[in-house]
Amino acid sequence: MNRYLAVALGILTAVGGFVDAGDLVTNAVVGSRYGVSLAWVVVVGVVGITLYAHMAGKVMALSGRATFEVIRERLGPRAALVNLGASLVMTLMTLTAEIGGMALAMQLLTGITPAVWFGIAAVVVWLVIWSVKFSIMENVAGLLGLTLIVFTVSFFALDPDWTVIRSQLMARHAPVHSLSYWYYVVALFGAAMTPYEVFFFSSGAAEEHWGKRDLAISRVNAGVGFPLGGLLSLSIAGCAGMVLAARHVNVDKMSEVVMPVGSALGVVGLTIALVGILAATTGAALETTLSCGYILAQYAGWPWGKRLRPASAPQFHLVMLVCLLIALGVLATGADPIKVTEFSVVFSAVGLPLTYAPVLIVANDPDYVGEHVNGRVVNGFGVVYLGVLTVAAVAAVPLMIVTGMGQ
Amino acid sequence: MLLSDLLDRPVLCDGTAVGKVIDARFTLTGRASGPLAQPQLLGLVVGRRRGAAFLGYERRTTNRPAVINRFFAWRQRRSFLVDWGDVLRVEGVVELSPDFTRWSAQV
Amino acid sequence: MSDLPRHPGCDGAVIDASLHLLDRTALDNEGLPVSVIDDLEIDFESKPQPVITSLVLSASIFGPLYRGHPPSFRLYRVPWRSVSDLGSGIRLAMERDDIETTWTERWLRSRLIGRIPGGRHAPE
Repeated sequence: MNRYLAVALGILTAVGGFVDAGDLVTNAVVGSRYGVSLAWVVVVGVVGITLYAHMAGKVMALSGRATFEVIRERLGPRAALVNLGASLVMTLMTLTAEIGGMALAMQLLTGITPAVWFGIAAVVVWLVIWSVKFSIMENVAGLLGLTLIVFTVSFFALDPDWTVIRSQLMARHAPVHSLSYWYYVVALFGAAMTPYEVFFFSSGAAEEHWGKRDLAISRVNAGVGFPLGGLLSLSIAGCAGMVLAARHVNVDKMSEVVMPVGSALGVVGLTIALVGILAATTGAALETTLSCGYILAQYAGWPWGKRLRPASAPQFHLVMLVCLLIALGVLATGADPIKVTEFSVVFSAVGLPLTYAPVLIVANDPDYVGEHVNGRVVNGFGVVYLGVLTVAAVAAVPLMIVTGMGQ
Repeated sequence: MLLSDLLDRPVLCDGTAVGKVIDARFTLTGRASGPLAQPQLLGLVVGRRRGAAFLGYERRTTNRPAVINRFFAWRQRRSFLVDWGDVLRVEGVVELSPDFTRWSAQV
Repeated sequence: MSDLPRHPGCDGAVIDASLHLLDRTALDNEGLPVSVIDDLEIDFESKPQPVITSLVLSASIFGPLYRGHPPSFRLYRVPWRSVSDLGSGIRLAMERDDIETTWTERWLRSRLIGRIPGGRHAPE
């Protein structure tokens, strides 16, 4: 395929693929309470994920070593096993949230209860992983997810008060004394920088057979795709701020997340938004399932990857099957998918330093990346981010408990 | 003997504790054994605690990010290489000869 | 630390066992991951210097949870002469099926994954 077309496709896929259930719910909740005054968190989160995803992709493209191999080699098997356990729990939680999100979107599209859709969603996810080529899977989900742009359209269609928006973006009058505010800062961080994205970006680089020549593409995909994806997140928050805040809606249903689009663009807009949500959550369900398989197989030294036929990577596929069953099991207990989503972003925030520290270190190691070690600027940002992530990780659970998940 | 048995073993000289075995350095210039030369033991890397060595900063050409490097180099500031000739025994406790030389552990 | 003299032997190719070999991914002759290097066997009786005689591959992912190592007869050894390349992964000049640790993989392939329709089919 023509180089430019490939780059464009990569960017669009990254944009559409950026938003998942965690971003949808968290941005809607945050928007309904604070409008877009937490935009700075989205910006910081986007810069962070762009930096680190590229680093992880670079290490893979240049050394053939995936994130969890690196974690094992650098932290030692014992610490890495603990890290693996935590990462699996976080990613499984996120997977459960995504399957839940798929079912909720289907409920809103068809009126049929979500319980029916949980099983169907899991089967669809498994079938796609089993038999659909990686790049096709990524491109289709990503492009369909682009329909979430309907939130941006709705935002403008709702005729925002630009002075209010401007002052929110500047974070003036931000309630920095409120613990709930900081709880949502941490939650939004966790939603924007979920660990599975790094595992997936790194392993995806291998699936797409990236080598040294593709580093520039990786940079563009991440550097343009993620920020545009961040704009989608902000649109969701902005819409929620304009429509839900006034009605004092406490977002705890998927229908409330899309309500603003309905207000702005009617039934057509609503349908498009739901298709977008379905695509985004399906894409994320695929990515989190694959990530569960990736990290366990990479830690254990098992063959992994969709580029191998399943018979050549049997443990990898078995792990994913089991993870899907576990996610189904959790949802079958009647757990509310929205609540699961809210938990998953908080716990993602807790795990961020565990994932990111080894990536930063190895991206500087000539044994892995040759001459392409990080520059001073990237390292400067990387170290600062590690510090910030550690603070967020430590504060996450206490904040969650003290504020009762942001009440 | 397995490497894992050797690692973290206390290292003594004249009865005084000098550190622990944190690694074993081999050269690859010996007789070929298959595609690669069979690694021959050059010496043992001795230091305070193995845990702090796992990131390898104190010995590697990696010296970025500077902040992290400085932290780990400081933690491992007393690690050094001991030539195999200076090692009297490795069974039980590692015993060094009284006049052993401390070499740089830098790779 | 940096003011200690440099050992003359360090001028050639050197590897630090724990840093460069331990916990690295072991790859088969096609470069696919096969196992993890759990340990090394060193012959201290060898003259003139002790040598690494074999690699020990990981038997179970829960290995790190236990103290010490499995008894000798349970260790999966690979002789050093089978090592073909030392990079960020350790490449072995061995066929996948010749490496004992792949038995779970082979079992799963024949009993489970290989039996599901499409399992032997590459999606590429």
